[in-house]
Amino acid sequence: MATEKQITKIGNDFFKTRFVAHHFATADQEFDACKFGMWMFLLTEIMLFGGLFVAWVVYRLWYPETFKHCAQLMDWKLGLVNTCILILSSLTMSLAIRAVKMSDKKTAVKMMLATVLCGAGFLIVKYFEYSHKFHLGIFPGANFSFDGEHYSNAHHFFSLYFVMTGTHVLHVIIGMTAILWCSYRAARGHFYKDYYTPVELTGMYWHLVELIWIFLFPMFYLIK
Amino acid sequence: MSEHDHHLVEAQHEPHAISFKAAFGVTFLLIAFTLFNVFVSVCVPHLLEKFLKVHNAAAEYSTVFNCVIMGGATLCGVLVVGLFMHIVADTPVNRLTFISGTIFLGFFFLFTLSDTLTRRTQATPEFIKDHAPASFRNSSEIPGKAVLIPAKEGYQKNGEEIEGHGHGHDHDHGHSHEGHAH
Repeated sequence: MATEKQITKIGNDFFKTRFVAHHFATADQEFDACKFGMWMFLLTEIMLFGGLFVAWVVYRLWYPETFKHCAQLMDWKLGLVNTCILILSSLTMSLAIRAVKMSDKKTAVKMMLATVLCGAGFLIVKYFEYSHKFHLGIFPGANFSFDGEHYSNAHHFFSLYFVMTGTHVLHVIIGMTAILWCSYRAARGHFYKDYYTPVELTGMYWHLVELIWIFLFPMFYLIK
Repeated sequence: MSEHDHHLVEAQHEPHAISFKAAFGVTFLLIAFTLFNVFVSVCVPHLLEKFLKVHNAAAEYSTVFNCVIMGGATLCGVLVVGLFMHIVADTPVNRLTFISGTIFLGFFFLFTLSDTLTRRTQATPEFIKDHAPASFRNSSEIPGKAVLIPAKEGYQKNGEEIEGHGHGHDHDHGHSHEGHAH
């Protein structure tokens, strides 16, 4: 049972007092170490997608006409909707982090749930996009077929499309799960102005997910 | 007595919260740049064709359009990393970590493209036969122009192969000398 010392009261809200882990001297040191670790992890993510971006650039240089033609088969309107959804989700995540730093529990939880909703919206749009492609017979890998005229090596474009956007979708799902976990803990009063590291790091992850989509959108939908 | 009593409470930690003005300002700019990119990709070629009578503007100026679009995307990326990910107010070591990672990613692009862009893209089977190492001389796949192929040629439909074509697309399209040099 929590003792009085383990409860922090800010305004009308109660929070579970966070203690610095035993191997850190100060709260700032703990926060900086966690954030540095997160940046290192995000760099590995950037390298993962960097390899895929390089693959796209190489194939784009090898088959420019194929890529131009295939990009015209993509629905830029759906891509634009998804981009706006993710930008909006980044805003709500930023406001959630802001609210946590202000010890505003209710707003933080609302903003985090709004971010998850945006993520779900992104996935729904992606579901319709993938369904349409599958309906046309456009599958990744060896099962690629297309009931209409197309350019040779179009399967390279669509394989890259499925691999890159599929990996991104996986990251969206992981991000949504992490945000849900943070919102649950925030609702229980685990985060407040003196301790918000998990929310900050999850927000960084979510912004990276948006950052990657910011480049995927022009690569597959706009560049012709 | 709590097991945490000997630890410090997370106090005196000064949070750097993003202001409403900055958060909404960045969001506005991100949407503006995105719409600008769509405008450049979708509308500008049509406008050039309609008002300046540029024939096939999308293909004629595709390099310019693509550079502008990727430039817009890069600006969006800078805004997200700088303000949403808060790297402008982060510790120097975190800034250095991100910048060094970006530089190494640039090296990755540079080394790969220095190979790809300097390849002989107009290689003919005769050139490969005469100049390529022995192990590559039988390769029928070299970079070249893509060709329009009707779907009925060489693709599976409902799980059945059509007119004796194989599974592999590279094999199907071998006659057009597509693919990359191995």
